[in-house]
Amino acid sequence: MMKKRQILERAGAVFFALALWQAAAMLLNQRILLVTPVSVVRRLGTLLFESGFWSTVGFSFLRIEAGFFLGLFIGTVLAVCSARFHLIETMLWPFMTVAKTVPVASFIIICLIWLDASSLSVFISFLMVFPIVYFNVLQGMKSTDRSMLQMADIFRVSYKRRLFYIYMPQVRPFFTSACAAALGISWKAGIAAEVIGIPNGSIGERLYEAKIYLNTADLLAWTVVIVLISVAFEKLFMKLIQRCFAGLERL
Amino acid sequence: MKDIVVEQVSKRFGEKRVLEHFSAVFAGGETTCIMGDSGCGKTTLLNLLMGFEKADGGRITGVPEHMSTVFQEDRLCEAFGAVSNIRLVLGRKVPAEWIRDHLRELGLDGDAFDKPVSEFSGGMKRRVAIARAVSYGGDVLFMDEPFKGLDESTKKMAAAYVRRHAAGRTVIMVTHDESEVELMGGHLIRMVRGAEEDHA
Repeated sequence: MMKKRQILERAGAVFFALALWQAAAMLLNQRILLVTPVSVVRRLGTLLFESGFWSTVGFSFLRIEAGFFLGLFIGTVLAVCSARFHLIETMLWPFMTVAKTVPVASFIIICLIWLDASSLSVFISFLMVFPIVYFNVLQGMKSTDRSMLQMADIFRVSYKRRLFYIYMPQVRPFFTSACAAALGISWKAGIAAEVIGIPNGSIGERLYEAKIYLNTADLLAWTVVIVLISVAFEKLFMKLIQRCFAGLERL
Repeated sequence: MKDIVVEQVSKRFGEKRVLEHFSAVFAGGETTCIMGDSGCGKTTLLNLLMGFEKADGGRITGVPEHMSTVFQEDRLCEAFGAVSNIRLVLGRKVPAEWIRDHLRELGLDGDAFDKPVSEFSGGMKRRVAIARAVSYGGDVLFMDEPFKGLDESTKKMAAAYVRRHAAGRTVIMVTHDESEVELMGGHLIRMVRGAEEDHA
């Protein structure tokens, strides 16, 4: 649990940042360039009750998280296979290197040729999450204590049981840190894909419209929405992951 | 049960000569204790018998395929409880109560069954490692300083437990402690640096 003093310190830092923003916006006095945080909060208040707000949030949330879970699942399965069979690791190496190094904008533009705009964020989110999870889980499996594997050899422990008892506790910190990093990146990349692909009814489309009409309050209000959903889901998911691991270890 | 025969076995690690033309016979179905100073090659000999190391020369025959071990270190899954650590090697078909009975025989009960091994004392971990190796079965039981860190009464309890359950199996135990040899009984091999010294 976060200590009371730490919470107060952070609240103070947020208050200071907001005050600085408010002062800058008032000094500049140009609503197109910079709106005040008060205006953003006001716009957020009206946005929440607009028809179509929740369906827009749902549209982006479902697609981005679908990409995240797909990346999580496939990245984990392939990392387990690569740790077991060196050939798979070697064969996957060029794909993983490309997925890790090519800029997300390049992927988005290439994928727009193949995919329709509404499914673009699923694929881009997957593409960003997949290598993070793959490399982290693989590193965790490779760093498994050799003496424990020797023990498993002597007692003829099956691979399934090795995964559960020996690899899982070893991979746990690698997996959780991969999830934390991947969750943030999936939202950044997913929304970027929506802004470029402009699928109907997405948060990306609303951001694009705000830019076209120079509506800075809208742009920032939607940005706040993205940050809040992303952070809330990350907190919830990380808690679930910790509980899952703790539950498995009690089995 | 066949004897385990070690003939003229040598092992070096780089320039360091650990075993030089070492020979010994470990009687099948009986207990043999190996004593010797630190660095004389006792653990290396066990590693050669278990197949973790390859000898540079000589021959080892008669080692059964089905073996179990109490390692010098506990090698337990720290995040799991004592019962789960034994389940790891026995599988899910073995009833939990049967595992608990083994742990009780070593003086472990109550909380010790399910709380993570990471919260155990050194002596408790040692006993879980012994219970794991003994309950697993196997034709040969290798033990590398199995009673290290146990007090005298627990040592007696653990030695009696091993003797009770490993009767009829080949047991090879490495130790520094003469009293542990007395507790376990059987044959004694004394090793000196580079070779075997005498049999008792």
